[in-house]
Amino acid sequence: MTGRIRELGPLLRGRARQEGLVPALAGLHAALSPRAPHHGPTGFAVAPAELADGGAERTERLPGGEVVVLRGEPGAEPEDWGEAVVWLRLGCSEALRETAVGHLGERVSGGSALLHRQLVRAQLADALTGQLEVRAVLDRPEPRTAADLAHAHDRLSAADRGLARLLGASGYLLGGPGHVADVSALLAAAYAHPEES
Amino acid sequence: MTDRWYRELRQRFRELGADLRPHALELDRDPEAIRAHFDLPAVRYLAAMGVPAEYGHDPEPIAGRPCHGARARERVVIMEELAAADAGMLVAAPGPLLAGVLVGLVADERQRELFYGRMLQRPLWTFFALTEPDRGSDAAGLTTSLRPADDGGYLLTGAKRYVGNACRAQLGVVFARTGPGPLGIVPVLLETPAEGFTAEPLPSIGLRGARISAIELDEVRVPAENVLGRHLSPTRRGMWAFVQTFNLLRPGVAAIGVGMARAAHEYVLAHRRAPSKDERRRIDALGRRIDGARALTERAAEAVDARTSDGHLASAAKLRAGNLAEEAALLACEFFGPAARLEHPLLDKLVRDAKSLEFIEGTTQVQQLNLAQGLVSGKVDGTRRSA
Repeated sequence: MTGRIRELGPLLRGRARQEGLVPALAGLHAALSPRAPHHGPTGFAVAPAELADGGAERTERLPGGEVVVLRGEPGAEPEDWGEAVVWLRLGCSEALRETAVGHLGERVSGGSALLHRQLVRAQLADALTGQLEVRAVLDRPEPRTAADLAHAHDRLSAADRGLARLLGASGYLLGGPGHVADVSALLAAAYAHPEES
Repeated sequence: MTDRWYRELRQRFRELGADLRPHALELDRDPEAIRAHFDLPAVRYLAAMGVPAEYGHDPEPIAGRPCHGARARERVVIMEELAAADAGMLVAAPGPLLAGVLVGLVADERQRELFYGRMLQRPLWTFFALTEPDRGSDAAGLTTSLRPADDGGYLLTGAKRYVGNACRAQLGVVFARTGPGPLGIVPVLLETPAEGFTAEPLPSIGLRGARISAIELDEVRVPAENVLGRHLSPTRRGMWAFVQTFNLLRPGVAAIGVGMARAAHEYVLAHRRAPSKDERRRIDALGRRIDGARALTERAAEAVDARTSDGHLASAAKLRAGNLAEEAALLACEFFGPAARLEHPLLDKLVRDAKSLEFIEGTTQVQQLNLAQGLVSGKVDGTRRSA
């Protein structure tokens, strides 16, 4: 861990939360892999389309731009990369939480907003707990291992699934918040390290 | 029907499902690709599934007896097997499904002849439009209106969302309001294209074969004879009708969940070479969970076949199987490392497809509330309590 992640991490989180996944992903590459998309341990890269030189395995059209999945040889991981990706995903997850709370506050069923339902609040609380846990892990003074980061990715993916569910069918549309959450999970797929066996 | 007959039915549809799987990724890329596969036996069967024998439906016999797919218990076997092959192809296939069940419940004889006759002529997509923008399927908040027209018919105005196959359907059911309260809701049969009717596909994360659509209705003319259940009292058509319809269909949705979970489980069995002892234990545990969900789904189907209002088991089955589908897809990914979704396109598709089950026919919370209500009202084990 370097002193730089102490600044870069919250910056990426804020950008993801305020502007979205694509601008934050562009910021991540600009800071740590400016010349080319970084290919993770299994050879996959997830990057803004403008950084790719063609050859995308898949293209995801999100608010704020396109994200591509690229396949190649694993690259040497830039220092702080793994942790920076977790910060970015935390910001995306928090943005999804805000979207969910807004949606549930406006959505009336049986005469009251869904946000007032206990079952709904329980699901929100579960997701929030996952996010708070990740934040606590990231804030620890000790260095984070690859296993710590993989665990954080799992917590965020679970939180995102719970939050996307609260959006009902509207969370299942391409270009919507559920799609952003799904692409965020692909960031974990590309950049989390396999467990040592 | 005997257990042996259901086993034969399962075996037959396992064979038919094998023809669907090769097209799974093609359909995920292009939901209209189904049009090239109308000749597949499974797709041909689904095109008329649920049409009763007396309207001329004559499917191939299974162990000497035809299966019309008119009973939930039959449909759960068929839908599990075809979803285990590919849920996308299953939901993309033309056929009467939701609309057909409603027609069976509330249509008069002329309406049945019209609907079933059309279904047997050639493969047609149908739709079932209840959900509205910003209101989900909260029937109390339904605002699509049906008001009398000068010609003795009606005019339909409003909007519907997340309606499977509506953008390519020729026939469908729309729920609308003629007055306030639960008795003011009526279903109408709508033939499309129709002036004032537009339906646009809503691109989705997964289950793209379902072609979920947004419908706009701008004074669409509905002949009086297309109001479903005209011959019934208001208490036996609107709200009552769709509750019964969902009760009858929910075990089928649960069966799709069981099928999806099985697809994930079978993928691991086929592709995880030399699993460790611990991995074998986890694979076996998932298999047992799938068996349990199947048992619950079959019981739920029997319960709604016996009495359409008996929907609490269907809620339990949908709750269990719907969540299991997503869990199984994620568990399957764990056997192939963090990049599983990027390296295994079919697993990626399963993860995306399985997410759809949360909002199809009632969310987790809706099912939990149904079940709790069934418990406190004494439906579950016959002990009445005051709620």
